[in-house]
Amino acid sequence: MKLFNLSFKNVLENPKRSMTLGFFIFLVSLLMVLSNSFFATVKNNLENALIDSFTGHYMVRASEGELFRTDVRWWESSYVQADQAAQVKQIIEQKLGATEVTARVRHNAMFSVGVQKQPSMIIGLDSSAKTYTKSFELVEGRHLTPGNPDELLLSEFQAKKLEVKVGDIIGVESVTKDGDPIEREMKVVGIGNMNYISNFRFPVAFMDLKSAQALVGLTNGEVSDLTVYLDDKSQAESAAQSLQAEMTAAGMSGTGLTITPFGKLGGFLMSTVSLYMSMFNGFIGLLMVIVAILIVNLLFMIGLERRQEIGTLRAIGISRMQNILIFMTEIYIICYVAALAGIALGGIIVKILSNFGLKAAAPLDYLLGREFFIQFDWMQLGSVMGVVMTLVFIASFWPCYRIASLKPVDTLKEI
Amino acid sequence: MATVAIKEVTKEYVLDKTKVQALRGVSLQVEEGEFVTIAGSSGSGKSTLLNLIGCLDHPTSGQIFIGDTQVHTMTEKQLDSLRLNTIGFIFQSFNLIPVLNVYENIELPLLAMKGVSAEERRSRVNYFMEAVGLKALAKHKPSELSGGQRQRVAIARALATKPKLVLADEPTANLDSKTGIEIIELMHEISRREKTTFIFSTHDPKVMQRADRIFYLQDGVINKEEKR
Repeated sequence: MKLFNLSFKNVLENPKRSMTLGFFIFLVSLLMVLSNSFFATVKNNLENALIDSFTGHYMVRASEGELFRTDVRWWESSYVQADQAAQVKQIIEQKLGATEVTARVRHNAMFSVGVQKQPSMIIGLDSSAKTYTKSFELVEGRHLTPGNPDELLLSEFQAKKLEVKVGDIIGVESVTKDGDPIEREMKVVGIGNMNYISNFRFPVAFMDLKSAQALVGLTNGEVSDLTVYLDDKSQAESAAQSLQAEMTAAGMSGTGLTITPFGKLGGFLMSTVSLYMSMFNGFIGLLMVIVAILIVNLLFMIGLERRQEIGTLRAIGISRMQNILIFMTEIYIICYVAALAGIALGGIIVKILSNFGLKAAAPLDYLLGREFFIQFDWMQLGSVMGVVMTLVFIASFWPCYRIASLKPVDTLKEI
Repeated sequence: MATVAIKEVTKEYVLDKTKVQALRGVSLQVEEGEFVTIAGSSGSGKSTLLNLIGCLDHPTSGQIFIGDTQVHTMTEKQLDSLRLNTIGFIFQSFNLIPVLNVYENIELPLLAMKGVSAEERRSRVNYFMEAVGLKALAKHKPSELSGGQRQRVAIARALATKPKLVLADEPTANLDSKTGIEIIELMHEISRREKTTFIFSTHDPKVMQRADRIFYLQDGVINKEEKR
């Protein structure tokens, strides 16, 4: 171990060079901590918003496939029958447990006030629905009163387009599943915004289940889906599988109902976050390549400058492997200290930001929410250190091996 | 048994597509505890011969024995171990590690050795620092020492591992003649005291006079051997 004293001394001998390399490692580590925390928070917030407002932790539907499409067509080709919905709800409540099971009807409609018209997606919620209030942030008015018909919660965007306020009555036109036009008048009881996702071209309005069923022409109590909420989102996959097994055991395997965990829905929205993450990870990756090149160059420069030392070390019996370790230790000391500093600073910044919310202005608010609390994760700091140390190993092993493999007679000859 | 035995060793280099014969069938034998010099002018092959004896290079043909070990068949790992445990090196340019102080330079090869305790390391370093008269300068770095002092550090480093054989390639070449003589006398004294075999190269007649035996090397051939 004391042999590596030489590595420590060499680090201190050339502080400028050590600091140049250290600065880049510091920067990579700091940026990785900040960007990972930022994107992990964005992803988590967006995922939670999707769960709370649209997908639940899992959903029981009569049809398959992606729910969210850019063309905002939101009606189903087939519906869950009333008796099926009741049976599934009973299985969940009695055998599996859930914090909430909401029956919903999804459809498309046209809102109109005078000459103003606004196409919209509507969600009808049964009286047990509560979780949607977490993601629907009111600007004005109140949420739906369970059981009250013909109440409407509008997004701020829709309200502006239609030039309406809380208490106004608006016309809701629709086409039933059988192709018949239908029109109802509904009262705006609340105006607000869907956290994180209101700007994703999803102009959604909430209403009670019965009004929505009427707009679709579901006269026998059919629903689009049952949305199930759990205590812990990591249990979604296994809970969905358990329900599938229970439904099969209950003789419901031939009913055509599908169970979809949230991870398989909302891919269009999540892919936007993934795109930003890829772009930023690309930037970090580029920075890592630059650092790797810097390490390789630095080591070859060390090899050139210290040929005499390398030859001497080999001549006095220091083995090739010990030489490799001496040089790698030198690089690792610099990089470890710099990475630790970068991670510590990043961690402190994230920790501070996790306590104080950031106000996000447009257009960032659609990704961050209006107030953004970045999430702090100790594990994430460890993973950044792991990635940086792996990069240092990959970049330094080969040049160290080359340096240590110089023939002692060649290096000594040139003195 | 001889400490070093060389039989019909040749060494060829290719220099700009031209074959250079640095050594042409050199044979010699050096006994335990001898203080031997290889004398010759520049380019005669002295350094090449010392590099081959020191296992830093491989001969083109011939055999080299260190004790009863035939070195030219050894693996790189075995050669590392042989250099560490059996051979000490003293270089013309001292080749001290600039970032380490006197104590640490002498201690360096001991750190690579297995089975040497911290206590023994300390005791050996102190012993050899005293033997070369540098105890007072233990904390000094090579850049703070004179040429003669640096070469004394190199001698102590070469001896710290208690090698059977010490090879010194023109150890006085970068020193003034008075200091050069002092260094050779120090080496000779330690050779006698520690019963260590010393082989050094020189082209300085004043220095070579101090050797027990002189091998005269010219154009890669030993053309004369003189016992004193």
